[in-house]
Amino acid sequence: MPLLECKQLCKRYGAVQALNNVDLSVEPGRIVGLLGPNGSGKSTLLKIANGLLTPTSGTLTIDGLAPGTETKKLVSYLPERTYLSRWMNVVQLLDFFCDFYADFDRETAERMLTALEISPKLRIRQMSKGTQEKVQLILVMSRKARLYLLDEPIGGVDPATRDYIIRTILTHYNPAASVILSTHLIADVEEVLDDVIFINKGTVALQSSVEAIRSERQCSVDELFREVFRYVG
Amino acid sequence: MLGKLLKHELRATARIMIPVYLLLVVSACLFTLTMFLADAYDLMALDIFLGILSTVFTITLAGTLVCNTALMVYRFYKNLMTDEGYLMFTLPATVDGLICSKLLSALIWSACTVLAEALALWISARGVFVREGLELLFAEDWSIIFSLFSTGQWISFILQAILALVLSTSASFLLFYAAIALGHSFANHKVLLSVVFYFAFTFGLQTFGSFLSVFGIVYLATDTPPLFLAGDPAVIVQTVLLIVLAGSLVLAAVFYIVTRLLLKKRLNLA
Repeated sequence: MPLLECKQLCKRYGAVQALNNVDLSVEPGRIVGLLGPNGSGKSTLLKIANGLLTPTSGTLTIDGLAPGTETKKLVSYLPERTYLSRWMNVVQLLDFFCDFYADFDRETAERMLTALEISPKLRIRQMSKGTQEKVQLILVMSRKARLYLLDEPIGGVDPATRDYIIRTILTHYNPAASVILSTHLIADVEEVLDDVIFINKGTVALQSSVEAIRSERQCSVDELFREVFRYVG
Repeated sequence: MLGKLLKHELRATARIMIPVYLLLVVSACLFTLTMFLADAYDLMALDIFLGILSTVFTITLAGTLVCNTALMVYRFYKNLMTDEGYLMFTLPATVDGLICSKLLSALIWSACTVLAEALALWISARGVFVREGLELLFAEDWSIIFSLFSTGQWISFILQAILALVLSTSASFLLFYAAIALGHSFANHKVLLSVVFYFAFTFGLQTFGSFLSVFGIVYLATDTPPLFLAGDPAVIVQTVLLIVLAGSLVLAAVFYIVTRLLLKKRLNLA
């Protein structure tokens, strides 16, 4: 059974069609790149998967279940925004995650924080934006979740942090789980991806394995992306 | 899960509310101490200082009430409607759990605020001038009031009044929540719209309440025999309590359902 499956999924915001008849499925144990230009519907899809938005029509299921309390136990979500309370320090955040997520591995989180020299006593408001994003990523990746949904995890960070984030995703995710990584910075993540989903104007333009793209089309994902999303003008 | 949500909610609010209570008690102690000193020593400086402390104490008393309401409303907005909502709504918790944790926390802190205000007033009542005022008040003959009802009726009325207070406080907070949830279901000007909806709800309720009061008075006055002329105060108190209880329950339920529906179906985090 697919870990995540969309059938004829549509989402409309007033006159704007954010998602239009999206059909896709993600199998367990895969790292999937959800790729598309800004405003293509990537974040909307991930928000629906997290129960933050309700679809206008169609269905999205996680492990056969509609998004809800049960699926939230399976999904570890990194939104594109910093969602941590600014008054909390790192220890309080670890307590918070331990309380709410049975699959949260505190030791892993503490090890990663030590490696990055982030003091447990530091409050979020005392951290730089980059450090806040690292803490958030550490919290998300320290869960032994079935599905990781990472929305633009490398969008606004420097190249060194970008490398760290990609390394963290690779080394800390549960191998039996799947990762869906939304980004438009394809060259940075291409090496770690098993599959890609191209999404454009709310429609799935392509779903393929990276291997198939390289062998059948004789090009990299980045090159194919540029070809598919080339602006004519 | 509700217990965990409530624990973290109380932790988040305690860091503000406990210092506020401390400030209230300290200002009550200083006010009372200065009253003793002003009574013992005839110094103009002490009288001026007492005047200032009296103002500070009054402001702190009112400020604690305002802080309690403002913080509870702000927590709902900040924790559920802004970026923090991305964490809260992806926890394995239900929308009911999220709303109830906010509401229970607000009720717990409201009860604590009442106790803190009572403590501050009790401390200030130790002071000479307030004590004299209270002594005058208690010198009145209150026995006629106490003899109106039997002990059993008093207990029943007090319990019903406490329940009515809890329900009406819940309805007040839920009105804020519903207005915020409704304002944030729109794409733009979310905070402004929340304020507009709050005032619209309040205006609507006041208008409805006024009509109800007029009709109620007319109905009761023309009842046979008219209730307020019937002479049994227990019937009057019981009727008023039941109206307040039912009204608060209906309002709390309506605003809870509106908030729940909006957060479940129309959640629109920026």
